[in-house]
Amino acid sequence: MPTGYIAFILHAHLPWVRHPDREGVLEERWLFEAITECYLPLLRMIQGWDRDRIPGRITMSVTPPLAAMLSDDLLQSRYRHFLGRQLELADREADRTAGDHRLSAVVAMYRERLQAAREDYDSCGGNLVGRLADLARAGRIELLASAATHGYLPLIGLSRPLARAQIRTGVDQFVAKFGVRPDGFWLPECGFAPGDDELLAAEGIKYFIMETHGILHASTRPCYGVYAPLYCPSGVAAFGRDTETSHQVWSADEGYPGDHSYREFYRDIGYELDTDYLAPYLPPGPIRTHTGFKYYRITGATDHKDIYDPGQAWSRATEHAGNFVFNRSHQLQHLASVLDRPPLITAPYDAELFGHWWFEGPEWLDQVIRRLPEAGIEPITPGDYLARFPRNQVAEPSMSSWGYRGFNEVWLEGSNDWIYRHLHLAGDRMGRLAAERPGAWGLERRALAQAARELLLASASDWPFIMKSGTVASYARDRVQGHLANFIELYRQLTERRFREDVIARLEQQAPLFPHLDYRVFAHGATEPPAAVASD
Amino acid sequence: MAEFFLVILTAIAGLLVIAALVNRSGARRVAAAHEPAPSRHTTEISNQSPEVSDQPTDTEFGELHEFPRQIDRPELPDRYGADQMKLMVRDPYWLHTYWELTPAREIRAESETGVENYAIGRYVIRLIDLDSNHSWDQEVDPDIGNWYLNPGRPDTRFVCELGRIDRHGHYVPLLRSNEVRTPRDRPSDRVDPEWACPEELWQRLYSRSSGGTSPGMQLWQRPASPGHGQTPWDRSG
Repeated sequence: MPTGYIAFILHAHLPWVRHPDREGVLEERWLFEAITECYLPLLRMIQGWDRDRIPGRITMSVTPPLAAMLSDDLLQSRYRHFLGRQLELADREADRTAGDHRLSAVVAMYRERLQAAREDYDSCGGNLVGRLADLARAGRIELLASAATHGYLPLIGLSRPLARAQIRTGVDQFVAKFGVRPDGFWLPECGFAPGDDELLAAEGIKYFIMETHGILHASTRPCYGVYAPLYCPSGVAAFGRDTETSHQVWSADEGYPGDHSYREFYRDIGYELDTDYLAPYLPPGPIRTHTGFKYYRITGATDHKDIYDPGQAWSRATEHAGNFVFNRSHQLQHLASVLDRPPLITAPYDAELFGHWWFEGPEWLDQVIRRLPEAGIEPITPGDYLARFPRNQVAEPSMSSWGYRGFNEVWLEGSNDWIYRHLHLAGDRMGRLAAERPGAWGLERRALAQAARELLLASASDWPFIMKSGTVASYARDRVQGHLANFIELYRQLTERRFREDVIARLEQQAPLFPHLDYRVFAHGATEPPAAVASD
Repeated sequence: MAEFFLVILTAIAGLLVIAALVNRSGARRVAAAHEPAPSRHTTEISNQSPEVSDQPTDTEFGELHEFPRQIDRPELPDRYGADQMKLMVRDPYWLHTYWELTPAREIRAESETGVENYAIGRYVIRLIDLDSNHSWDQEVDPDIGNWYLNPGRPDTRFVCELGRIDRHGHYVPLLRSNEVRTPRDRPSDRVDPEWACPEELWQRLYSRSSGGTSPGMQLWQRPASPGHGQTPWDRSG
């Protein structure tokens, strides 16, 4: 038996940013960059375990909007175009830097990586979702479902129809994409409020991941801390994030990604070279943004930056992997000496940390997984753990999230609190409509489905997050307002029973997320008590 | 109990974008703007000071693209014509409420209370601690529509009402919210006998699990992630 277990959980998510009517939209680049820098390298890493017979096993969530975008024909073709442009830029950069052997070595690295990305992408016909499904069938990864559009359940959940629709649609989309029912569920932002587990239980979900103090502050003291799961009263298991593990990777001061040998994220030729030269590779308009070509290493806490040395960075990632495994080994040995069962470390991360923010992250993770067996640590998934340890303490976890300060304030503050009055009301209205009209057909059915779609899109946690962070805040406000306005228009058509086919068709074409969405997912729990106090 | 209330902040939305501070650590830039966390209308019920939140800000993206709309961008309605009041939990110490009060509801209350009594009353939010049956009133302009409340009571059930205190001091409830429970800010005192562990071991586990910090807010004051706030990608700071 191993000293203990570690469950790596990579959560992959991007909001739905498909803009069919325009080329080169800035927000679509989020997706393209993530494919090149994160998703393809992570898939390549996992395939490498197969090749080298490494007993690697991790858990991944791919949210429904991300899975939908990855499977979308238009976005796939735009990604191929984007990649072609990136390769063209690599060639031009190779010419431009030919006289400087240190710079040209970095350019050569990017060129190789882009070529590898193209090979990987073509080898699966652009079907990353299919490749994930293959890896899940091969036992390399365990896939988690997630909410329909990454709705933040502790706050939108005041409308139970909306919370339920987020979860139910998320599970439905998982089944549609991966062909099996999910055991685990990724709660967006690890946001949990007591009672949400009942919604998960109703969908057959067996476990979810949560923030540390959700477990530590449970209704009764968790006798294993976060080193074993709890069962909620509904029977769904809750796994708590390990603080030490997340700190070593996330911390800007002490975490690995801040190492001076690693690539500096903020020095990008997109901000440094002549705009005429860059124009074909940037979004249209007077915009400078990241191109992905970054030639410097972090170097130190000054503006002076040395040129990036890939070899040095790679060996540093290997050292950090060794350090991480060494620390986990000590942590698990200590815990094993005081607990009466092998401890489990739950280590969830945003997948996009690896490769995008932390360029060397995939290499680090690969090395960690490869070194675990010699340290007596077994990589495990939460599902496997529950199969081996089905008996666990029952307690109600506490409201929590992995956002700043651990509760709801990231998504509920002055910049974004205005959205909830609209979302809750729309959620309850949608709930009533769905309950009253279960057998709708024709235009009415299409209007109901599109109203459900607009409401789900409006309730993504990304929008209040962006409003708070101040980055592209007006985009986020426009998205919430636009989707809600569309909902209100459709609600009006539905209540007046005067349908405008042209409007419905245009909205369907504009936001074709979840083509087979069943609006009746809103129907349950649709009754809301009146707010006015009965005075008689 | 109105003296318990202290209006600490009525910042208008425009003033919110006051300060931006760039905090450099290593060479990773972690942008952080400091602004009082609860904006708009806040009420402090305990004497706890409002928290200051680190917030990333970055304006590197120049021109922004709008998601295309089919409807001609109608503004969202200020009012929906339905009475409602909702109470939301922000954290163990703070709550947020929003409401809509319709003229019809007022007319009904007026007829029940008597026009003369009702008309000169004050509007209040009444926050009720359902565990201790304690309540606090905060005078508000009902048109404001939302308020932050700071009872500072973790693990407590609350409900709130919008009501009016008539000329005789009688409280006339108009709207009542949903019930909420604030989360704990520390471990529970309860131990499941079947899953008990010695106190000393629990303390060690707790300390280790929570990153070696004592119970309280330090637990989740983790440093921000690299590149925090650039895109929606970075979520778990």
